[in-house]
Amino acid sequence: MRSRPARVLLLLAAVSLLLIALDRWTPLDPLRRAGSLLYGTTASLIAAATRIGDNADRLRALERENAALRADNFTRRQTPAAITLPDRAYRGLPAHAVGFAPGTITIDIGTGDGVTRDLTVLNADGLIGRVTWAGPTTATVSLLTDRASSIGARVPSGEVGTITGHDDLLLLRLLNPQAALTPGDRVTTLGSDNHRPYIPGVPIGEVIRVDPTPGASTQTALVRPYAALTTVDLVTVVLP
Amino acid sequence: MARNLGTAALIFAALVVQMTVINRMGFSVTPDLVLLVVIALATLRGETAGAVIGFLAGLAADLTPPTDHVLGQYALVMCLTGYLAGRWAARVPLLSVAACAVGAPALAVGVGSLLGDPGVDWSTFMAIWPGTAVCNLLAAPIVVWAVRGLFRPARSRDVLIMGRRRP
Repeated sequence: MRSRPARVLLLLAAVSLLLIALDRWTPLDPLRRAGSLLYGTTASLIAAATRIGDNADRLRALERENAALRADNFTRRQTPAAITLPDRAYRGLPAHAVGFAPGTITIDIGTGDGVTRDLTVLNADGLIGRVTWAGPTTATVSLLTDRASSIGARVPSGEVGTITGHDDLLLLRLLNPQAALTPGDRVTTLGSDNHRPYIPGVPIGEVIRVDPTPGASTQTALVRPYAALTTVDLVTVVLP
Repeated sequence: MARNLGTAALIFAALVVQMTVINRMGFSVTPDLVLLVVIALATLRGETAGAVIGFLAGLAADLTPPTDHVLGQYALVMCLTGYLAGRWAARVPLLSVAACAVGAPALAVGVGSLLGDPGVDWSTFMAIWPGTAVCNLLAAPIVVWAVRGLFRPARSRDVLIMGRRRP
């Protein structure tokens, strides 16, 4: 016969494992929505309280206008003439980052505002990441430096490759090992199928080091993101 | 009852402070405030309460956005940590706090990789764990002191002295 504390521990560990199995099998979204409502709303309120004193309404209107302009602008600017982008207007939703965890942030808008999974998130400097989960009043954004992220990218020479997280920096792998690449090159998004999760032409970062890998099947380089991901505040969610 | 409500409020506050203040400072490694609060409470209240508090706090952390791991992962890690912290606290309080503050992040990464977190391997572990462990160790005395101040047992004073056996 085991002692009482040990039985309590075994019971709780079993419940945890059951939760893990359940969440694997059928994601427990109602629980997540409840957590998002409670903690997301608290975080939004705290963030809003720190913004009191601003001329809130006027600022809000400007933010909205700015977000819409930015979403539209990014896709036209800095695009090599050889690449033709579909001529379409994006709608941008302004949002504030209110909660922070390693690799992810919470933003203060959710499904009620039209946010869904797999939308591009950017700020004035460049790409931030993509929406991975949307709750009623908040949404979770996975940062582009997250280890699990993989983003189609294009360099000025027109070559394409992928961007993955690499601690605080990014790792660029170009499909063509002979591609011309120099430090200082601007890396932009290639764009996903149907513009989700990434719209094309958003600046990602700047090449800081090209790895000399003669004979390798891909060319790799270190890229520093344009956006300061650890101090994100105002962001734009792009609705394609 | 009042003590349990106070415990719940403290854990809620710790979660909110972690996600809105500590993680926002922009450091690559940060102390895990909720974990330290659970350890401190477990050393005060013993292994059974430690396991229960750890489980509930872990579940709350699992549900706090912007976490993106599987539900129940932190609940499992924290209930084990709370149990061990409470169990060892009777004999070696200081060592118990230190071992749990250092061991729990390693356990969390280990459980995460077992559950198939993408991109977790040995190099990730070595990149995350030492920094987090040191941060936790540095923050632990402050958190333990604060929690003990808040939940001071009324009966005697000698529980306040770390290193003494609890009455």
